[in-house]
Amino acid sequence: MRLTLPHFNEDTEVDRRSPLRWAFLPGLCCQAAGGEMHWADDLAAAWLLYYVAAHIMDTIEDQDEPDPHWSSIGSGAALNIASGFYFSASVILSQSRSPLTQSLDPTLLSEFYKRFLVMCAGQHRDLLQHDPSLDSYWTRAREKSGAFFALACRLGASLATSEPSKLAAYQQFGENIGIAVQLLDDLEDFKPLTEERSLAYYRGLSRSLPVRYALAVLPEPQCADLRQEIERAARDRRALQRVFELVETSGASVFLLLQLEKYRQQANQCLAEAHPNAAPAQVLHSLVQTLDILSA
Amino acid sequence: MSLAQVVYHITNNAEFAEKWRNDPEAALKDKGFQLSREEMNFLCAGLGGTVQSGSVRLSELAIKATSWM
Repeated sequence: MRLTLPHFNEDTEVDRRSPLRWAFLPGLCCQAAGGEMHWADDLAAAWLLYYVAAHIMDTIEDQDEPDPHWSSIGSGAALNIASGFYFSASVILSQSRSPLTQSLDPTLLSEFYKRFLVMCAGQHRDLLQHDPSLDSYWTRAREKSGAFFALACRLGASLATSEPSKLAAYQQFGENIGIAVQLLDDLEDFKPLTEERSLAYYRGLSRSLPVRYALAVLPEPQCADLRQEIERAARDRRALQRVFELVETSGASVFLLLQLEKYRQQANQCLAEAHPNAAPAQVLHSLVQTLDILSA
Repeated sequence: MSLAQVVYHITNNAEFAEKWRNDPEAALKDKGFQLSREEMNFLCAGLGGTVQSGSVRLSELAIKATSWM
């Protein structure tokens, strides 16, 4: 498998719909911290493979609708492909010929794998906890998506700098992006109900931020109603529609947009605190801008 | 949690929403809500900008959102 990552400059326009756009974070953070983008090619390739593998596994574990590119082969084969991606990424990291990757502090690579254990623990709790609180939602978002994106940015920057304050800023920058990406992922569960979209598509709905928020703020009778409709939504389209209505009337869209804006702003602040080089910083800011769905 | 409660009341309680528009701090005090200065500034800025109560639906946002793949 050959993976080609183009290099950015200040004139680069980010394709906001490209699923690959986040794979540029390690290289851009490296460049922003004073290095060259290509120094992070191996890290970026490994991170991208982990990213796709994690997405496939997440989809299967949450029993979400399969992605079009693997729906015909079934979840067993897709799981096998995801395992292949994990091992491929590990091979890239362990056999990298890049002197810079080789020169990385060994504890950083060990941190790479430890972060995955944190993500696994977060996913495990997420799968087992039937009715998580709004507070625990944020803990999971930080443990899963936040930690993963933090890793991309911190490791990328660490190829160019060892200043603890800058590394911490890049890590926080990535964490904020990761949490915002999780919020966008949650929105997938609110795509309109159509004849083509099966009820199975909405299985992850009850763990999404809008539902967790609604259950935290709605008065008890409506909460009970919402819980009951969530139980029925797996087999009844009208119940699912009622879930949408109850969540919508709680003001969930406003809450989600405010949170998205908060994490977007925090990401930009963290990037400023890292004192990045101007050209890559501009591209990083435009990546953060893609999280603003109101201007999409 | 308080931020969530405030958003709920702004979008579901016309009297609170009116008070919030005129004097956010007094509106919070009346209800016994507490927000950090950062949350307060953020909420005022967010609701004064593009995020308006009831102006956008989750299904519309979902169509625009692209996250993982």
